[in-house]
Amino acid sequence: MIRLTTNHGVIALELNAEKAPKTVANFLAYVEAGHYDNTIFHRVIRDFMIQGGGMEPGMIQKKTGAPIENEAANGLRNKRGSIAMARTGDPHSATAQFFINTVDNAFLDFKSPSGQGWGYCVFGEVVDGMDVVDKIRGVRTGNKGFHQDVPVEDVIIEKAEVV
Amino acid sequence: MILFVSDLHLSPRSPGATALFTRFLAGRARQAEALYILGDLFEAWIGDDDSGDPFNAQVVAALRAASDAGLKISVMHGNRDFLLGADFATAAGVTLLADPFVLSTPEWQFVLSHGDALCVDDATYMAFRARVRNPAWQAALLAKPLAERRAIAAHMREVSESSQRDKDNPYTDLQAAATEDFLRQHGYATFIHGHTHLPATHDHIVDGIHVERWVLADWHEERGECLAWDGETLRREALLPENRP
Repeated sequence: MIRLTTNHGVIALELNAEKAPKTVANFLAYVEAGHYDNTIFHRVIRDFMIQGGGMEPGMIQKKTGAPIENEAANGLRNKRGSIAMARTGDPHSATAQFFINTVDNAFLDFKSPSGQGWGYCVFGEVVDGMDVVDKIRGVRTGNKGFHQDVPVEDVIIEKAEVV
Repeated sequence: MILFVSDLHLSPRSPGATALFTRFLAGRARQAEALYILGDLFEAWIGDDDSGDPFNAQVVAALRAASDAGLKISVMHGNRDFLLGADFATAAGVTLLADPFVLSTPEWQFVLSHGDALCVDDATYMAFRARVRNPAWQAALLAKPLAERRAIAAHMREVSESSQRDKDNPYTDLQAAATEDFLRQHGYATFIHGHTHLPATHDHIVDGIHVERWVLADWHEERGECLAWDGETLRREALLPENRP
């Protein structure tokens, strides 16, 4: 299990190494390297998802490792409470940033192994602390620099650890 | 703040780089007063009358929006988009620059160029350049129907891609002697250029004077770069795609 200690409370995650082996190994490597400590949820959209793991307070982008293969075809769904990897337009570009779905987002699921169809790889779910996720999804957001949907007050992951 | 970019090579085949550039124009660039695009903004440009092409129209609109928001945008021709003309400039709200162009700021003197004119060791390329930069040749080409120009551009791309295939780096570097002469002629100003796809910062000693030469990075689907002048120093800034669901 993974414990994310945030300034809004603790979120406990169960990862699915069976369905998403490479994605879980990648996430664990970032956890163990301390990458997520003192990062923020920098993109919060109430009825969509909360995204984090790539920026320090002040919207400073952190360096990441190599991108990983997209394992979105594993049958796991982007339902409320699931955790999935964020990525760029390239389907196989996820590095450290992840998001927790705050509602069912079926349109993010894998459809076909091409361009838009790849979807976003779910690799686990929140097993405790969904109330914390709901607190975070409700924070006030605005524009910061040219980023949108940035919490006005930092939502900080103080510590991420394997328990 | 002044920003410099080059060698974006935008085309419908580069949606990633195009997205990076439009986001750059809508965001980062608007924190600056001026943006200098030093050649090869487009992978190909067959004439301003092709502005109706949906891809071209999208890029022109993005430039226009940034220009309307107060960003002063200047565009220099590259070896790919040498046909960019006055109608494009008007539509996009940009100024076309001569190559080379001396940029004097209150703090510092720069000389800007695409860079290809100094690749004099590549005789084949220099002959090609002399031909396509000839106003008579350009006028004759622009007189042809769009469809025919499109075919000519596709053919030129094929020829260029097949001739590049046997080279490690298809871009010849600037010739050292020609570069030194160039720096001398431009008063030892800091030289900023692109073209070679060999981003680096070079120190030249010309006539005992230290001159910096900044080579801009070419853009990729997952990475762009701009050079920022804040009145004191030049700094490279990576432009990375946003992570999203």
